[in-house]
Amino acid sequence: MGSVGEELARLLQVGRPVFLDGIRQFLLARSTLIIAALLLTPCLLSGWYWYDTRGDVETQVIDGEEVRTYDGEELHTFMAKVFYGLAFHIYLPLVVALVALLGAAELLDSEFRQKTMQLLRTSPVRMYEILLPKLLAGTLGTFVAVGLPLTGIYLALLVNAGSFGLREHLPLLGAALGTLLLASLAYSGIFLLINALVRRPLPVSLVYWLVWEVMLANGGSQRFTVMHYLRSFALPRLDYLGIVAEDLNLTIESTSGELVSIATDPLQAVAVLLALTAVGILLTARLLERKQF
Amino acid sequence: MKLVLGLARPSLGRVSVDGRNPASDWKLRSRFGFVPEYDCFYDHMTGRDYVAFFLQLQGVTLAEAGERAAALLDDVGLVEAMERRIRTYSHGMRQKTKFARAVAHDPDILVLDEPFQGTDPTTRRLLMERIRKWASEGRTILLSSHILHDVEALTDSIVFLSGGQVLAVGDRHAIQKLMPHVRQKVRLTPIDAGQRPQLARLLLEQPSVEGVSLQRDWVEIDTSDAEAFHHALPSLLRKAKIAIQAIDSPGEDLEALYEKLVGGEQWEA
Repeated sequence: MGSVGEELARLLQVGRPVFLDGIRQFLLARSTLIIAALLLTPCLLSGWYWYDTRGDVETQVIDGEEVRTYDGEELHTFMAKVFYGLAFHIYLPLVVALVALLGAAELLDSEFRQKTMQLLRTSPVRMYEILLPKLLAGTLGTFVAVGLPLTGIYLALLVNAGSFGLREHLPLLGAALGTLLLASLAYSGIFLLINALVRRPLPVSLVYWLVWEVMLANGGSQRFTVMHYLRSFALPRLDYLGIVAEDLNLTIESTSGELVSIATDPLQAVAVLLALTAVGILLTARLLERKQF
Repeated sequence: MKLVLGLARPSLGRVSVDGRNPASDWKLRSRFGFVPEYDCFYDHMTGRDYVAFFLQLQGVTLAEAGERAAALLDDVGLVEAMERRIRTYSHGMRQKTKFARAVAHDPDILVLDEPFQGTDPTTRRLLMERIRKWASEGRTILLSSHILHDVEALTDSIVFLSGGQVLAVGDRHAIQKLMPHVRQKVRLTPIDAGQRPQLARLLLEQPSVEGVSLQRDWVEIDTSDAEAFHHALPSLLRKAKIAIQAIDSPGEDLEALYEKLVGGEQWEA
Protein backbone atom coordinates (compact mmCIF):
# COMPACT_ATOMS: atom_id res chain seq x y z
CA MET A 1 0.00 0.00 0.00
CA GLY A 2 1.51 3.30 -1.07
CA SER A 3 1.09 6.69 0.58
CA VAL A 4 -2.20 8.55 0.37
CA GLY A 5 -0.71 10.81 -2.31
CA GLU A 6 0.39 7.84 -4.42
CA GLU A 7 -2.97 6.14 -4.02
CA LEU A 8 -4.77 9.32 -5.05
CA ALA A 9 -2.52 9.79 -8.07
CA ARG A 10 -3.15 6.19 -9.07
CA LEU A 11 -6.90 6.61 -8.59
CA LEU A 12 -6.84 9.67 -10.84
CA GLN A 13 -4.77 7.87 -13.48
CA VAL A 14 -6.84 4.68 -13.51
CA GLY A 15 -10.19 6.32 -12.80
CA ARG A 16 -9.97 9.02 -15.45
CA PRO A 17 -10.84 6.88 -18.49
CA VAL A 18 -13.57 5.04 -16.55
CA PHE A 19 -15.13 8.32 -15.43
CA LEU A 20 -14.92 10.00 -18.84
CA ASP A 21 -16.38 7.03 -20.65
CA GLY A 22 -19.05 6.61 -17.97
CA ILE A 23 -20.22 10.21 -18.12
CA ARG A 24 -20.28 10.12 -21.92
CA GLN A 25 -22.29 6.91 -21.91
CA PHE A 26 -24.67 8.22 -19.28
CA LEU A 27 -25.41 11.58 -20.87
CA LEU A 28 -25.65 10.24 -24.43
CA ALA A 29 -27.91 7.32 -23.48
CA ARG A 30 -31.26 7.55 -25.26
CA SER A 31 -33.16 7.15 -21.98
CA THR A 32 -31.29 10.08 -20.38
CA LEU A 33 -31.92 12.36 -23.36
CA ILE A 34 -35.63 11.48 -23.48
CA ILE A 35 -36.09 12.06 -19.74
CA ALA A 36 -34.15 15.35 -19.85
CA ALA A 37 -36.33 16.54 -22.73
CA LEU A 38 -39.51 15.54 -20.86
CA LEU A 39 -38.27 17.37 -17.77
CA LEU A 40 -38.10 20.58 -19.74
CA THR A 41 -41.83 20.56 -20.57
CA PRO A 42 -42.79 22.83 -17.62
CA CYS A 43 -40.86 25.57 -19.47
CA LEU A 44 -43.64 25.48 -22.07
CA LEU A 45 -46.24 26.03 -19.33
CA SER A 46 -44.25 29.01 -18.17
CA GLY A 47 -44.32 30.42 -21.70
CA TRP A 48 -48.04 29.86 -21.87
CA TYR A 49 -48.48 31.66 -18.49
CA TRP A 50 -46.44 34.63 -19.76
CA TYR A 51 -48.57 34.77 -22.94
CA ASP A 52 -51.84 34.52 -20.98
CA THR A 53 -51.02 37.23 -18.42
CA ARG A 54 -48.88 39.56 -20.52
CA GLY A 55 -51.38 42.44 -20.48
CA ASP A 56 -52.28 42.20 -16.80
CA VAL A 57 -48.87 42.21 -15.13
CA GLU A 58 -48.04 45.44 -13.36
CA THR A 59 -44.68 46.71 -12.18
CA GLN A 60 -44.22 48.47 -8.84
CA VAL A 61 -41.02 49.97 -7.47
CA ILE A 62 -40.41 48.69 -3.92
CA ASP A 63 -37.16 49.68 -2.17
CA GLY A 64 -35.70 50.67 -5.50
CA GLU A 65 -36.47 47.27 -7.07
CA GLU A 66 -38.91 46.73 -9.92
CA VAL A 67 -41.32 44.14 -8.59
CA ARG A 68 -43.93 42.66 -10.92
CA THR A 69 -47.40 41.89 -9.59
CA TYR A 70 -50.37 40.07 -11.00
CA ASP A 71 -53.82 40.42 -9.53
CA GLY A 72 -52.29 42.11 -6.47
CA GLU A 73 -49.87 39.25 -5.73
CA GLU A 74 -46.09 39.51 -6.12
CA LEU A 75 -45.33 37.40 -9.17
CA HIS A 76 -41.88 36.25 -7.97
CA THR A 77 -43.34 34.64 -4.81
CA PHE A 78 -45.98 32.84 -6.83
CA MET A 79 -43.42 31.61 -9.36
CA ALA A 80 -40.99 30.54 -6.59
CA LYS A 81 -43.76 28.44 -5.01
CA VAL A 82 -44.53 26.83 -8.36
CA PHE A 83 -40.83 26.02 -8.73
CA TYR A 84 -40.68 24.70 -5.16
CA GLY A 85 -43.65 22.41 -5.87
CA LEU A 86 -42.12 21.06 -9.05
CA ALA A 87 -38.63 20.63 -7.60
CA PHE A 88 -39.41 19.23 -4.16
CA HIS A 89 -42.62 17.30 -4.78
CA ILE A 90 -42.08 15.90 -8.28
CA TYR A 91 -38.48 16.09 -9.53
CA LEU A 92 -36.56 15.26 -6.34
CA PRO A 93 -38.75 12.47 -4.95
CA LEU A 94 -39.68 10.87 -8.26
CA VAL A 95 -37.45 11.78 -11.18
CA VAL A 96 -33.95 11.75 -9.62
CA ALA A 97 -34.21 8.15 -8.45
CA LEU A 98 -35.46 7.08 -11.87
CA VAL A 99 -32.58 8.80 -13.70
CA ALA A 100 -30.00 7.45 -11.22
CA LEU A 101 -31.50 3.98 -11.60
CA LEU A 102 -31.19 4.04 -15.39
CA GLY A 103 -27.72 5.57 -15.12
CA ALA A 104 -26.45 2.88 -12.77
CA ALA A 105 -27.67 0.22 -15.19
CA GLU A 106 -25.84 2.00 -18.01
CA LEU A 107 -22.68 2.19 -15.92
CA LEU A 108 -22.50 -1.23 -14.29
CA ASP A 109 -25.07 -3.64 -15.69
CA SER A 110 -23.78 -2.89 -19.19
CA GLU A 111 -20.34 -4.17 -18.08
CA PHE A 112 -21.94 -7.54 -17.39
CA ARG A 113 -24.06 -7.52 -20.54
CA GLN A 114 -21.05 -6.64 -22.73
CA LYS A 115 -18.86 -9.06 -20.73
CA THR A 116 -16.31 -6.31 -20.26
CA MET A 117 -16.43 -6.89 -16.49
CA GLN A 118 -14.24 -9.96 -17.06
CA LEU A 119 -11.67 -7.73 -18.75
CA LEU A 120 -11.80 -5.22 -15.89
CA ARG A 121 -11.38 -8.07 -13.42
CA THR A 122 -8.30 -9.30 -15.29
CA SER A 123 -6.79 -5.80 -15.32
CA PRO A 124 -4.42 -4.76 -12.52
CA VAL A 125 -6.94 -2.55 -10.76
CA ARG A 126 -8.88 -2.85 -7.54
CA MET A 127 -12.64 -2.80 -7.93
CA TYR A 128 -13.10 0.40 -5.97
CA GLU A 129 -10.79 2.10 -8.48
CA ILE A 130 -13.40 1.26 -11.11
CA LEU A 131 -16.44 1.90 -8.91
CA LEU A 132 -15.49 5.32 -7.54
CA PRO A 133 -15.23 6.89 -11.02
CA LYS A 134 -18.45 5.14 -11.95
CA LEU A 135 -20.13 6.57 -8.85
CA LEU A 136 -18.85 10.03 -9.77
CA ALA A 137 -20.06 9.59 -13.35
CA GLY A 138 -23.47 8.44 -12.07
CA THR A 139 -23.69 11.35 -9.65
CA LEU A 140 -22.60 13.97 -12.15
CA GLY A 141 -24.70 12.44 -14.93
CA THR A 142 -27.84 12.44 -12.79
CA PHE A 143 -27.07 15.94 -11.53
CA VAL A 144 -26.63 17.30 -15.05
CA ALA A 145 -29.57 15.38 -16.56
CA VAL A 146 -31.99 16.68 -13.90
CA GLY A 147 -30.19 19.85 -12.84
CA LEU A 148 -30.07 21.45 -16.26
CA PRO A 149 -33.83 21.12 -16.87
CA LEU A 150 -34.45 22.24 -13.28
CA THR A 151 -32.33 25.36 -13.82
CA GLY A 152 -34.10 25.90 -17.15
CA ILE A 153 -37.47 25.72 -15.40
CA TYR A 154 -36.30 28.14 -12.72
CA LEU A 155 -35.21 30.62 -15.38
CA ALA A 156 -38.37 30.13 -17.44
CA LEU A 157 -40.65 30.62 -14.42
CA LEU A 158 -38.85 33.42 -12.61
CA VAL A 159 -38.15 35.40 -15.77
CA ASN A 160 -41.86 36.25 -15.60
CA ALA A 161 -41.03 38.16 -12.43
CA GLY A 162 -38.17 40.08 -14.07
CA SER A 163 -34.56 40.35 -12.97
CA PHE A 164 -35.58 41.00 -9.36
CA GLY A 165 -37.45 37.69 -9.25
CA LEU A 166 -34.53 35.82 -10.80
CA ARG A 167 -32.13 37.16 -8.17
CA GLU A 168 -34.47 36.99 -5.20
CA HIS A 169 -34.97 33.23 -5.32
CA LEU A 170 -31.46 32.03 -6.09
CA PRO A 171 -31.35 30.42 -2.59
CA LEU A 172 -34.31 28.29 -3.68
CA LEU A 173 -32.46 27.18 -6.81
CA GLY A 174 -29.38 26.54 -4.66
CA ALA A 175 -31.43 24.42 -2.25
CA ALA A 176 -32.89 22.40 -5.13
CA LEU A 177 -29.51 21.84 -6.78
CA GLY A 178 -27.79 21.03 -3.47
CA THR A 179 -30.46 18.49 -2.60
CA LEU A 180 -30.27 17.13 -6.13
CA LEU A 181 -26.50 16.63 -5.82
CA LEU A 182 -26.91 14.66 -2.60
CA ALA A 183 -29.79 12.66 -4.07
CA SER A 184 -27.73 11.85 -7.18
CA LEU A 185 -24.84 10.62 -5.02
CA ALA A 186 -26.91 8.52 -2.63
CA TYR A 187 -29.16 6.95 -5.26
CA SER A 188 -26.21 6.22 -7.58
CA GLY A 189 -24.46 4.40 -4.72
CA ILE A 190 -27.56 2.36 -3.88
CA PHE A 191 -28.38 1.46 -7.48
CA LEU A 192 -24.77 0.48 -8.25
CA LEU A 193 -24.98 -1.93 -5.31
CA ILE A 194 -28.24 -3.39 -6.63
CA ASN A 195 -26.61 -3.80 -10.06
CA ALA A 196 -23.80 -5.82 -8.48
CA LEU A 197 -26.15 -7.87 -6.31
CA VAL A 198 -28.75 -9.16 -8.74
CA ARG A 199 -28.95 -10.35 -12.30
CA ARG A 200 -32.00 -8.25 -13.16
CA PRO A 201 -31.17 -4.92 -11.59
CA LEU A 202 -33.80 -2.75 -13.31
CA PRO A 203 -36.93 -4.42 -11.86
CA VAL A 204 -35.26 -4.86 -8.47
CA SER A 205 -34.21 -1.19 -8.42
CA LEU A 206 -37.76 -0.16 -9.36
CA VAL A 207 -39.20 -2.33 -6.58
CA TYR A 208 -36.74 -0.81 -4.07
CA TRP A 209 -37.66 2.68 -5.16
CA LEU A 210 -41.45 2.15 -5.17
CA VAL A 211 -41.72 -0.10 -2.12
CA TRP A 212 -39.03 1.43 0.04
CA GLU A 213 -38.50 5.05 -0.95
CA VAL A 214 -42.05 5.97 -1.98
CA MET A 215 -44.17 3.89 0.39
CA LEU A 216 -42.07 4.53 3.48
CA ALA A 217 -41.65 8.21 2.65
CA ASN A 218 -44.19 9.39 5.26
CA GLY A 219 -44.48 8.80 8.99
CA GLY A 220 -41.80 7.62 11.42
CA SER A 221 -40.49 4.90 9.12
CA GLN A 222 -39.18 7.54 6.72
CA ARG A 223 -35.94 7.67 8.74
CA PHE A 224 -34.99 4.49 6.86
CA THR A 225 -35.28 6.21 3.51
CA VAL A 226 -32.89 8.41 1.56
CA MET A 227 -35.76 10.85 0.97
CA HIS A 228 -36.01 11.76 4.65
CA TYR A 229 -32.40 12.95 4.79
CA LEU A 230 -32.74 14.84 1.53
CA ARG A 231 -35.80 16.72 2.83
CA SER A 232 -34.04 17.35 6.14
CA PHE A 233 -31.11 18.87 4.26
CA ALA A 234 -33.42 21.09 2.22
CA LEU A 235 -35.75 22.25 5.00
CA PRO A 236 -33.69 25.10 6.55
CA ARG A 237 -32.86 26.39 3.07
CA LEU A 238 -36.57 26.77 2.30
CA ASP A 239 -37.39 28.51 5.53
CA TYR A 240 -37.29 31.98 3.91
CA LEU A 241 -40.15 30.94 1.61
CA GLY A 242 -42.29 29.95 4.59
CA ILE A 243 -41.87 26.24 3.97
CA VAL A 244 -42.17 24.22 7.19
CA ALA A 245 -41.55 20.58 8.12
CA GLU A 246 -45.18 19.69 7.45
CA ASP A 247 -44.92 20.88 3.84
CA LEU A 248 -42.08 18.40 3.27
CA ASN A 249 -43.85 15.54 5.11
CA LEU A 250 -41.22 15.69 7.84
CA THR A 251 -43.75 15.40 10.65
CA ILE A 252 -45.47 12.71 12.66
CA GLU A 253 -48.57 12.98 14.80
CA SER A 254 -47.86 12.96 18.53
CA THR A 255 -50.06 11.15 21.06
CA SER A 256 -51.80 14.47 21.75
CA GLY A 257 -52.64 14.80 18.06
CA GLU A 258 -50.13 17.53 17.30
CA LEU A 259 -47.81 17.39 14.33
CA VAL A 260 -44.19 17.12 15.47
CA SER A 261 -41.19 17.68 13.22
CA ILE A 262 -38.88 14.67 12.85
CA ALA A 263 -36.42 16.43 10.55
CA THR A 264 -32.80 15.39 11.05
CA ASP A 265 -30.14 18.04 11.56
CA PRO A 266 -28.96 19.03 8.04
CA LEU A 267 -25.30 18.25 8.75
CA GLN A 268 -26.24 14.88 10.20
CA ALA A 269 -28.41 14.26 7.16
CA VAL A 270 -25.46 14.91 4.85
CA ALA A 271 -23.26 12.64 6.99
CA VAL A 272 -25.84 9.84 6.83
CA LEU A 273 -26.15 10.13 3.06
CA LEU A 274 -22.35 10.15 2.57
CA ALA A 275 -21.96 7.16 4.90
CA LEU A 276 -24.72 5.29 3.09
CA THR A 277 -23.02 5.90 -0.26
CA ALA A 278 -19.61 4.86 1.08
CA VAL A 279 -21.02 1.62 2.51
CA GLY A 280 -22.82 0.98 -0.78
CA ILE A 281 -19.63 1.38 -2.80
CA LEU A 282 -17.52 -0.71 -0.43
CA LEU A 283 -20.07 -3.53 -0.51
CA THR A 284 -20.31 -3.31 -4.30
CA ALA A 285 -16.51 -3.48 -4.62
CA ARG A 286 -16.38 -6.48 -2.29
CA LEU A 287 -19.11 -8.28 -4.21
CA LEU A 288 -17.46 -7.66 -7.57
CA GLU A 289 -14.03 -8.74 -6.33
CA ARG A 290 -15.49 -12.06 -5.18
CA LYS A 291 -17.80 -12.60 -8.12
CA GLN A 292 -17.01 -15.70 -10.17
CA PHE A 293 -17.41 -15.79 -13.93
CA MET B 1 -8.32 -20.51 -17.94
CA LYS B 2 -10.70 -18.67 -15.64
CA LEU B 3 -8.90 -20.18 -12.66
CA VAL B 4 -5.53 -19.00 -13.96
CA LEU B 5 -6.94 -15.53 -14.57
CA GLY B 6 -8.58 -15.36 -11.14
CA LEU B 7 -12.08 -15.11 -12.61
CA ALA B 8 -13.11 -18.30 -10.82
CA ARG B 9 -11.98 -19.98 -7.63
CA PRO B 10 -11.11 -23.67 -7.49
CA SER B 11 -13.55 -25.89 -5.60
CA LEU B 12 -10.66 -28.23 -4.90
CA GLY B 13 -6.92 -27.59 -4.69
CA ARG B 14 -5.26 -24.27 -5.42
CA VAL B 15 -4.07 -22.26 -8.38
CA SER B 16 -0.95 -20.15 -8.19
CA VAL B 17 1.13 -18.21 -10.67
CA ASP B 18 4.72 -17.90 -9.48
CA GLY B 19 3.44 -18.76 -6.01
CA ARG B 20 0.84 -15.99 -6.04
CA ASN B 21 -2.94 -16.37 -6.03
CA PRO B 22 -4.39 -14.78 -9.18
CA ALA B 23 -7.84 -14.44 -7.61
CA SER B 24 -6.69 -12.12 -4.83
CA ASP B 25 -3.41 -10.62 -6.07
CA TRP B 26 -4.55 -7.75 -8.28
CA LYS B 27 -1.01 -6.66 -9.14
CA LEU B 28 -0.33 -10.08 -10.65
CA ARG B 29 -2.93 -9.32 -13.33
CA SER B 30 -0.55 -6.92 -15.12
CA ARG B 31 1.34 -10.04 -16.24
CA PHE B 32 -1.69 -11.47 -18.03
CA GLY B 33 -2.95 -10.81 -21.53
CA PHE B 34 -6.37 -12.34 -22.09
CA VAL B 35 -8.20 -13.01 -25.35
CA PRO B 36 -11.65 -14.30 -24.39
CA GLU B 37 -13.71 -16.61 -26.56
CA TYR B 38 -16.67 -14.24 -26.46
CA ASP B 39 -17.12 -10.67 -27.64
CA CYS B 40 -16.26 -8.21 -24.88
CA PHE B 41 -16.29 -4.74 -26.37
CA TYR B 42 -17.39 -1.24 -25.61
CA ASP B 43 -19.11 -1.05 -28.97
CA HIS B 44 -19.42 2.73 -28.85
CA MET B 45 -15.62 3.10 -28.75
CA THR B 46 -13.27 3.10 -31.70
CA GLY B 47 -10.71 0.29 -31.86
CA ARG B 48 -7.99 2.72 -30.84
CA ASP B 49 -9.98 4.11 -27.89
CA TYR B 50 -10.75 0.59 -26.72
CA VAL B 51 -7.12 -0.54 -26.66
CA ALA B 52 -6.03 2.80 -25.16
CA PHE B 53 -8.73 2.53 -22.46
CA PHE B 54 -7.33 -0.75 -21.15
CA LEU B 55 -3.75 0.51 -21.49
CA GLN B 56 -4.65 3.38 -19.16
CA LEU B 57 -5.91 0.84 -16.63
CA GLN B 58 -2.37 -0.58 -16.77
CA GLY B 59 -1.06 2.81 -15.67
CA VAL B 60 -0.05 4.13 -19.12
CA THR B 61 -0.69 7.85 -19.71
CA LEU B 62 -3.40 8.92 -22.14
CA ALA B 63 -1.00 10.22 -24.80
CA GLU B 64 1.23 7.16 -24.67
CA ALA B 65 -1.77 4.83 -24.58
CA GLY B 66 -3.14 6.40 -27.79
CA GLU B 67 0.19 6.04 -29.59
CA ARG B 68 0.76 2.47 -28.45
CA ALA B 69 -2.81 1.48 -29.34
CA ALA B 70 -2.36 2.88 -32.85
CA ALA B 71 0.95 1.02 -33.33
CA LEU B 72 -0.54 -2.27 -32.12
CA LEU B 73 -3.62 -2.01 -34.29
CA ASP B 74 -1.37 -1.17 -37.21
CA ASP B 75 0.63 -4.32 -36.45
CA VAL B 76 -2.49 -6.51 -36.75
CA GLY B 77 -3.61 -4.77 -39.95
CA LEU B 78 -6.28 -2.46 -38.56
CA VAL B 79 -4.63 0.86 -39.35
CA GLU B 80 -7.50 2.03 -41.54
CA ALA B 81 -10.27 0.85 -39.25
CA MET B 82 -8.90 1.93 -35.89
CA GLU B 83 -10.78 5.23 -35.82
CA ARG B 84 -14.06 3.50 -36.61
CA ARG B 85 -16.47 2.37 -33.91
CA ILE B 86 -16.11 -1.27 -32.95
CA ARG B 87 -19.80 -1.91 -33.64
CA THR B 88 -18.96 -1.59 -37.37
CA TYR B 89 -16.17 -4.22 -37.21
CA SER B 90 -16.32 -7.65 -38.85
CA HIS B 91 -15.64 -10.76 -36.78
CA GLY B 92 -12.03 -10.95 -37.95
CA MET B 93 -11.42 -7.30 -37.08
CA ARG B 94 -12.88 -7.88 -33.64
CA GLN B 95 -10.54 -10.83 -33.07
CA LYS B 96 -7.57 -8.72 -34.10
CA THR B 97 -8.70 -5.94 -31.74
CA LYS B 98 -8.94 -8.45 -28.90
CA PHE B 99 -5.37 -9.58 -29.65
CA ALA B 100 -4.09 -6.01 -29.77
CA ARG B 101 -5.74 -5.27 -26.42
CA ALA B 102 -4.34 -8.43 -24.85
CA VAL B 103 -0.70 -7.75 -25.78
CA ALA B 104 -0.79 -3.95 -25.50
CA HIS B 105 0.78 -3.86 -22.02
CA ASP B 106 3.49 -6.38 -22.96
CA PRO B 107 2.34 -9.24 -20.70
CA ASP B 108 4.47 -12.33 -20.21
CA ILE B 109 1.53 -14.75 -19.89
CA LEU B 110 -0.99 -14.83 -22.73
CA VAL B 111 -4.26 -16.67 -22.21
CA LEU B 112 -5.97 -17.24 -25.55
CA ASP B 113 -9.41 -18.83 -25.48
CA GLU B 114 -10.51 -20.03 -28.94
CA PRO B 115 -8.50 -17.27 -30.62
CA PHE B 116 -9.25 -18.35 -34.19
CA GLN B 117 -12.96 -18.91 -33.81
CA GLY B 118 -14.84 -17.60 -36.82
CA THR B 119 -11.81 -15.99 -38.44
CA ASP B 120 -11.08 -16.07 -42.16
CA PRO B 121 -7.90 -17.83 -43.39
CA THR B 122 -5.96 -14.55 -43.79
CA THR B 123 -6.72 -13.42 -40.25
CA ARG B 124 -5.99 -16.91 -38.94
CA ARG B 125 -2.57 -16.93 -40.63
CA LEU B 126 -1.78 -13.45 -39.30
CA LEU B 127 -2.78 -14.33 -35.76
CA MET B 128 -0.79 -17.56 -35.89
CA GLU B 129 2.28 -15.64 -37.00
CA ARG B 130 1.86 -13.26 -34.09
CA ILE B 131 1.42 -16.11 -31.61
CA ARG B 132 4.60 -17.76 -32.88
CA LYS B 133 6.42 -14.43 -32.60
CA TRP B 134 5.24 -13.88 -29.02
CA ALA B 135 6.25 -17.44 -28.13
CA SER B 136 9.69 -16.87 -29.65
CA GLU B 137 9.99 -13.78 -27.44
CA GLY B 138 9.77 -16.06 -24.42
CA ARG B 139 6.17 -15.45 -23.36
CA THR B 140 4.07 -18.20 -21.83
CA ILE B 141 1.07 -18.88 -24.04
CA LEU B 142 -1.93 -20.84 -22.83
CA LEU B 143 -4.18 -21.53 -25.79
CA SER B 144 -7.44 -23.43 -25.92
CA SER B 145 -9.08 -24.46 -29.15
CA HIS B 146 -11.55 -26.96 -30.49
CA ILE B 147 -9.74 -26.74 -33.82
CA LEU B 148 -6.93 -29.15 -33.01
CA HIS B 149 -5.29 -28.62 -36.37
CA ASP B 150 -4.52 -25.06 -35.25
CA VAL B 151 -3.16 -26.26 -31.93
CA GLU B 152 -0.94 -28.77 -33.74
CA ALA B 153 0.40 -26.05 -35.99
CA LEU B 154 1.39 -23.92 -33.00
CA THR B 155 2.64 -26.14 -30.21
CA ASP B 156 3.93 -29.53 -29.09
CA SER B 157 2.79 -29.04 -25.54
CA ILE B 158 -0.80 -30.19 -25.30
CA VAL B 159 -3.35 -30.88 -22.57
CA PHE B 160 -6.44 -32.80 -23.68
CA LEU B 161 -9.52 -32.03 -21.60
CA SER B 162 -12.94 -33.61 -21.75
CA GLY B 163 -15.82 -32.99 -19.36
CA GLY B 164 -13.49 -31.10 -17.02
CA GLN B 165 -11.10 -34.05 -16.78
CA VAL B 166 -7.51 -34.12 -18.01
CA LEU B 167 -7.26 -36.94 -20.55
CA ALA B 168 -3.63 -36.56 -21.53
CA VAL B 169 -0.66 -34.21 -21.21
CA GLY B 170 2.45 -33.92 -23.38
CA ASP B 171 3.41 -33.82 -27.03
CA ARG B 172 1.74 -35.92 -29.70
CA HIS B 173 4.08 -38.86 -29.26
CA ALA B 174 3.72 -38.87 -25.49
CA ILE B 175 -0.03 -38.91 -25.87
CA GLN B 176 0.22 -41.69 -28.48
CA LYS B 177 2.17 -43.75 -25.94
CA LEU B 178 -0.90 -43.80 -23.72
CA MET B 179 -2.47 -46.10 -26.30
CA PRO B 180 0.39 -48.52 -27.13
CA HIS B 181 -1.98 -51.31 -28.22
CA VAL B 182 -3.87 -49.08 -30.64
CA ARG B 183 -2.77 -49.68 -34.21
CA GLN B 184 -1.04 -46.83 -35.94
CA LYS B 185 -0.21 -46.23 -39.58
CA VAL B 186 3.20 -44.89 -40.62
CA ARG B 187 3.87 -43.76 -44.19
CA LEU B 188 7.46 -43.76 -45.55
CA THR B 189 8.21 -42.05 -48.86
CA PRO B 190 11.67 -42.94 -50.28
CA ILE B 191 13.50 -40.38 -52.43
CA ASP B 192 14.01 -43.11 -55.03
CA ALA B 193 10.56 -44.56 -55.67
CA GLY B 194 12.21 -47.65 -57.16
CA GLN B 195 13.38 -48.68 -53.67
CA ARG B 196 9.80 -49.11 -52.45
CA PRO B 197 9.66 -52.96 -52.88
CA GLN B 198 13.00 -53.40 -51.10
CA LEU B 199 11.80 -51.13 -48.30
CA ALA B 200 8.52 -53.04 -48.00
CA ARG B 201 10.36 -56.37 -47.68
CA LEU B 202 12.68 -55.02 -44.99
CA LEU B 203 9.81 -53.53 -43.03
CA LEU B 204 7.87 -56.79 -43.10
CA GLU B 205 10.77 -58.49 -41.29
CA GLN B 206 10.44 -56.10 -38.35
CA PRO B 207 8.69 -57.62 -35.31
CA SER B 208 6.91 -54.34 -34.58
CA VAL B 209 5.33 -54.26 -38.05
CA GLU B 210 2.01 -56.03 -38.46
CA GLY B 211 1.23 -55.22 -42.08
CA VAL B 212 2.76 -53.50 -45.11
CA SER B 213 1.07 -51.92 -48.08
CA LEU B 214 2.94 -50.85 -51.21
CA GLN B 215 1.57 -47.63 -52.71
CA ARG B 216 2.50 -45.63 -55.79
CA ASP B 217 4.87 -43.22 -54.02
CA TRP B 218 5.22 -44.65 -50.56
CA VAL B 219 5.12 -47.67 -48.29
CA GLU B 220 2.57 -47.76 -45.47
CA ILE B 221 2.86 -49.99 -42.42
CA ASP B 222 0.55 -50.91 -39.55
CA THR B 223 2.08 -51.12 -36.09
CA SER B 224 0.83 -51.32 -32.54
CA ASP B 225 4.30 -50.51 -31.18
CA ALA B 226 5.17 -47.28 -32.92
CA GLU B 227 7.92 -46.45 -30.44
CA ALA B 228 9.84 -49.68 -31.18
CA PHE B 229 9.31 -49.17 -34.89
CA HIS B 230 10.65 -45.61 -34.86
CA HIS B 231 13.57 -46.72 -32.69
CA ALA B 232 14.62 -49.47 -35.13
CA LEU B 233 13.98 -47.53 -38.33
CA PRO B 234 17.15 -45.34 -38.65
CA SER B 235 19.66 -48.25 -38.47
CA LEU B 236 17.50 -50.30 -40.82
CA LEU B 237 17.46 -47.55 -43.44
CA ARG B 238 21.16 -46.88 -43.01
CA LYS B 239 22.04 -50.56 -43.58
CA ALA B 240 19.82 -50.79 -46.66
CA LYS B 241 21.07 -47.39 -47.92
CA ILE B 242 17.54 -46.14 -48.48
CA ALA B 243 17.10 -42.36 -48.29
CA ILE B 244 13.70 -41.22 -47.06
CA GLN B 245 11.96 -38.08 -48.23
CA ALA B 246 9.10 -38.04 -45.71
CA ILE B 247 7.72 -39.95 -42.75
CA ASP B 248 4.23 -39.21 -41.54
CA SER B 249 1.30 -40.79 -39.77
CA PRO B 250 -1.90 -40.40 -41.76
CA GLY B 251 -5.02 -40.24 -39.65
CA GLU B 252 -2.91 -39.78 -36.55
CA ASP B 253 -3.30 -36.07 -36.12
CA LEU B 254 -4.41 -34.52 -32.83
CA GLU B 255 -8.04 -34.71 -33.85
CA ALA B 256 -7.78 -38.49 -34.27
CA LEU B 257 -5.82 -38.89 -31.02
CA TYR B 258 -8.40 -36.86 -29.14
CA GLU B 259 -11.25 -38.93 -30.52
CA LYS B 260 -9.49 -42.14 -29.50
CA LEU B 261 -8.85 -40.82 -25.99
CA VAL B 262 -12.43 -39.64 -25.56
CA GLY B 263 -13.53 -43.04 -26.88
CA GLY B 264 -11.51 -44.66 -24.06
CA GLU B 265 -9.14 -46.59 -26.33
CA GLN B 266 -6.31 -46.07 -23.83
CA TRP B 267 -8.19 -48.39 -21.44
CA GLU B 268 -8.80 -51.15 -23.97
CA ALA B 269 -6.54 -54.20 -23.90
